[in-house]
Amino acid sequence: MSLGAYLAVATALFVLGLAMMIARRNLLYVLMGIELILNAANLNFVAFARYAAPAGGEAALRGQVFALIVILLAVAEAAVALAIVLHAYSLFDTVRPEEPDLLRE
Amino acid sequence: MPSTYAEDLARILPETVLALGACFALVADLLWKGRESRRVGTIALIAIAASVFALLRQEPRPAIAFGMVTVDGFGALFKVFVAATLAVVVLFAHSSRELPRHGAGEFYFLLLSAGVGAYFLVSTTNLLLLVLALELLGLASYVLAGFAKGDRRSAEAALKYLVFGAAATGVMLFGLSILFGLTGSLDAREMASILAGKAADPASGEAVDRFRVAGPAVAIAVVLAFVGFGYKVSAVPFHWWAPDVYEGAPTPVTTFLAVASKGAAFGALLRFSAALLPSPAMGEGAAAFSGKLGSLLALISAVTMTLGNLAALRQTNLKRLLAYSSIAHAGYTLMGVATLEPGGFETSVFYLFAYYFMNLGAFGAVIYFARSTGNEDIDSLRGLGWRAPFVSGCVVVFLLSLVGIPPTVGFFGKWYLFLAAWNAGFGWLTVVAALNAVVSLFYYFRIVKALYFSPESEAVFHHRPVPSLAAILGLLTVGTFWFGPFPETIRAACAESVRFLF
Amino acid sequence: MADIVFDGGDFARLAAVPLIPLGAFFVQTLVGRFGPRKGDWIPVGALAIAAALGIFEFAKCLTVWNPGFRVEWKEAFDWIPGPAESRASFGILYDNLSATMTAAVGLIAFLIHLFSVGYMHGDRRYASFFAHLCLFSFGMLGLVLSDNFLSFFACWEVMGLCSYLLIGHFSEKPSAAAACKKAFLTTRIGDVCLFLGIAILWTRLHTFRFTELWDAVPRVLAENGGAYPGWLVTAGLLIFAGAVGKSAQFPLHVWLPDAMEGPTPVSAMIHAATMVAAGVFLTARAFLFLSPEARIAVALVGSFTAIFAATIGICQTDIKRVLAYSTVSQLGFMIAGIGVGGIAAGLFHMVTHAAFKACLFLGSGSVIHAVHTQEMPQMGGLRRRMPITYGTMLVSTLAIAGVPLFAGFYSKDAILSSTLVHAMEHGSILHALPAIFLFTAAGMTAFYMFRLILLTFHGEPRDAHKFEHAHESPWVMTVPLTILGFFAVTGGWIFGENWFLELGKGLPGMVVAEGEAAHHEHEAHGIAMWGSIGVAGAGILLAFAFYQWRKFSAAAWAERWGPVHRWVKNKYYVDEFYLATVVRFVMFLTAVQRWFDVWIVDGLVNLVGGIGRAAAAVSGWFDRWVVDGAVNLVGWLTQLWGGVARLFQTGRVQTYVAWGVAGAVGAASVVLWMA
Repeated sequence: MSLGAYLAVATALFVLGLAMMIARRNLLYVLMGIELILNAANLNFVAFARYAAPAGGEAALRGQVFALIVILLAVAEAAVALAIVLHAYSLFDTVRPEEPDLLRE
Repeated sequence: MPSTYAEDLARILPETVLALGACFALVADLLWKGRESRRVGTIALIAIAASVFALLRQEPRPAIAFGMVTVDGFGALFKVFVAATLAVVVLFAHSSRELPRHGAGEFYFLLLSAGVGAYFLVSTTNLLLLVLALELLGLASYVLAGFAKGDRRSAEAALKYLVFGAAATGVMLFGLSILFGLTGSLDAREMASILAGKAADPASGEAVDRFRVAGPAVAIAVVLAFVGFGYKVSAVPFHWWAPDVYEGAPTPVTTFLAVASKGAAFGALLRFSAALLPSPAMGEGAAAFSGKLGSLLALISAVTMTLGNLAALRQTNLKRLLAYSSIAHAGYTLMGVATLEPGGFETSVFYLFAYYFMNLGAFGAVIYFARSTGNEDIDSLRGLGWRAPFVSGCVVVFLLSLVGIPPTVGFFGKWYLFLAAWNAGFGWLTVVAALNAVVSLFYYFRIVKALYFSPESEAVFHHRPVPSLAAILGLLTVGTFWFGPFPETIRAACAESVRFLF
Repeated sequence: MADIVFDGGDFARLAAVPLIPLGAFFVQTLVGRFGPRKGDWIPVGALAIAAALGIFEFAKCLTVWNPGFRVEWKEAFDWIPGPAESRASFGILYDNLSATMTAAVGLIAFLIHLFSVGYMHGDRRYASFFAHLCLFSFGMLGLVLSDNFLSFFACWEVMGLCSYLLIGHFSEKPSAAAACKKAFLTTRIGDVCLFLGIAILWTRLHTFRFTELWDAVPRVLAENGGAYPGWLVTAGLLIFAGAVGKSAQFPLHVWLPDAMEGPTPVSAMIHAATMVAAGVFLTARAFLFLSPEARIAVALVGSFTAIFAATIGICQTDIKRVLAYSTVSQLGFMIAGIGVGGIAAGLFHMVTHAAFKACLFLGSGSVIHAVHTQEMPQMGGLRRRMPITYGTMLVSTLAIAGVPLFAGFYSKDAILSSTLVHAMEHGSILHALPAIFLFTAAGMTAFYMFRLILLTFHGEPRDAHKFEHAHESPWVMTVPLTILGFFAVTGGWIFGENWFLELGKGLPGMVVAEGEAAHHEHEAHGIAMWGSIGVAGAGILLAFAFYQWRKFSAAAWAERWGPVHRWVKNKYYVDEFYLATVVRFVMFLTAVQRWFDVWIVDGLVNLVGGIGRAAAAVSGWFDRWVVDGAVNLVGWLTQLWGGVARLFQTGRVQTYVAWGVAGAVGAASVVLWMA
């Protein structure tokens, strides 16, 4: 597979992630959208590290390390996000993202 | 020569101290069984003071920790800015009634952690550390925004902040990944020379002017990367979260977001703009791109201040009004960034300091008045000018400064910005900004009118003076007045710090 | 004539003279009321230190005997740094004049502070009273030490503000509220003129510094062929107009008698040490800017004021009003003295007057404190109840009346002889008028002052009840009285010939007479001395004839001269005249302005208000305002933004993300499009 194919998949993931965040009617899916976006970036990093940089070189390592750290980041973010969603759920009694709209205009 | 781990640790002592302080606060609160919120706050204050002390003893180091952290005067100035804000936020938290009585340890832990994030944010040109710092600041802020437990508005604010923030950082991350792909580097300075074809790509070993070869890709990547900054500084069109979150979050947290978080994001934006900025010496493609970037920032600046001011005109909630005003001020500050010159950057940094005094003061007044009125409506401030003369007087000073009326610091801040924009060839931007200042007069004046020129509110309230808070507001008033006619100390520091960037 | 070694330490002490009261003002304002005794000791202590420093430096000046003594601390504080023509820096100018003034003002202000401790005891706004009094002292001390017009003007305005605050101290009294407003607005007319005068000097000569301005005047005259150019004449007259306002000269004298509404120490402060003295001081400082014609105008304004106010003083029954008009009259003496060229004489009279007028005011305060009325017809016989007050006031009255050996005699005599010299030198009726006016006024002064003493302290008590309750005041009030009384007696000997008339010759603009002029002067001096003794004696005798021996009946005389008496008693209807002309005209302007406010400004404000409301009810709003063409555009904009807000700021987080993404796409498109 060429680099282009990876990039295509990554871009698709990115767009899908954004679409999920914008359109899904369930907060948990919105959170999944975030994961998709992060993973799209990860895929980019790894693909670039694998294809565009000479193997074993410093540049290649950078991409891999970045991806690893972003995975950790995603975990942390998911933890915080779930807590906040749960808190909102307990107060609003809903997981629909459009329903909490006390603050507007 | 790579430095050792111990040496690196010594050089990020301010951050380390703040992080340790956060942990101490958490543990202390557990030991005191959550009953001693003031004492925990004192620990936080001590940690902040210690980190400032460590800051002042730092020697500039261009790159430590594998080149990820830069210790320099620019970072130090912004860290002092963040620390000063943190200290005031801690004091505000003492006076605010929105925060729960228990769990102060968690609050200060999160606050100081966010502070650590902000510290790192302003001291790196490395993309990885940038993302980490943004996330540390962001994650802590999301939780802080929802810290008024059981308050639906607060919970909603946290949710919105989380979703929008995660999306924005995700988009930024995607942009950064493309930049990495184009250059094989994670350091903004290195990246800039590789993009301009002045340095060999570590991946391929060739030097190619990428503005020529892959111009659109570079442009898209940079724009996506700037989304993250745009969201943090609440620049239009990435500001949507700000009014809702500012209104819903507990006021001390709002203060933190509006001043420390925004200021640190501006610091990072300035540093990355300066680093990524392809200097004209780097070739035609680079110069043309730099010009475009400047124009885009100027456009965003104009739209941001206009939208912020127009939207503020119709607000009835004081905090929401200040949120829009804070968006407008981000627009003003961007004027200096758009010049992409040291002189312009300097004025932006100075404006942030002006913003520090007047905005902290305004939010402090919100807390003060909310204690008496029980809400944050402008309407319920009616007649308070005579009941709380001192604080109301301070508020008038802050508002004068926010409008930009001499001799307050806000006037001089704006004046320098206008001059910088005018000299950089953005005459139209200066005109837009001046018109905006006039528009802003109308909504700021509404607050003064409510305080002094309206019949007293029917809402029964008991005015409860809070001397400690009033004292802070008094100090901020003094600052607002003092640094207007006598701006030299801060201006010199700003000029000095910006020189580290170029 | 050895020069004094004036080192940095001296200048530091001098700088401290005004700055200590300023600091005390801040302390007293912020925390004074929480301190013991409501902090009154802070301003009193500050003034004590300031007075001590002022007297110390004054004494140092006395050790050398040099008419040209003048030291400067240039550019002590650079306010606006820059090249000479756009620079503003403050410094200290210390010459014989400011040395004397610093010592005198410091001492008198201190004594008034001390007196106030007793007089204001139990007042509701005791703490802030002292704060304002202290700031007032700062204003005057700073003014006399200023070496440039800028800080001079700033201090001048500080005093304007303080007089407003202090006269209106009993602001719940409508008359006090009106009086402080009147004082502020009337002096403001002068202040604006002064400011314009300073501005003219600055635009032409590019400096605010007195010494540089003085040096520039001969240069300007030389360039202009020895004559005063028009702009300099204008500037001089404008600056004098400032003095007219501050020193309550005709026609801007109306505020000073009304200023009696303030507490008595404030009256003493305004009449003796500060405010009115500032105008005289200014005239002396600005003498060089006055052309010969302008000097005649100054002399005429002063002498006319002297006689004009003296006549009013005769007909007043309120003890403080008599003193007020007496001040106006005495100020006329000083201004006239300066106008005819006797600068030193005018300033000499200012210093001696400061001593005995402060004593008289504090004495009247003591009397009012005792009998709780200001009407002299309700007093009488008080000398038995209040011996110290009586004694000191009597001494001061002798001084102001010009009885030989008392302070006022020497200074008034100096002024009178100056006017005589002036008249002799020129020999025209215009030049003789000041002398005629002043001699008459001197006689009247003796008359109305003894009328005051006789009505208040002599004869039988006219109100038994008030007399029964009268008692001598506490020591904080009598001690300052005694000290001031001492100076009322000795002031003439201490300063007199030795100090003012000799050392005053070094003042800028002072011409030292030689040859025939010196002969004139000698001759004039003799006439003036005997003449002034004569008119003073006549005035005193007349007063005794009317009010002690009852040879004539004051009431009958008033009856006989009915219309004239009414006219004078009502102060020549100047106030009414102003009411009918100036005030009415201003009212007219106000009406115009109100019209403007209602129709134009309110229109604008409403427009903005409309903007806010419009967002809530876009369609209704549009219907209501669509007719207003000018409003239309802004309204449309706001409506648009209201719609925009509704479209974007929906409160749904997913909308926000969508718009954020759209914004990113837009931004990227902009950059790509620019390629």
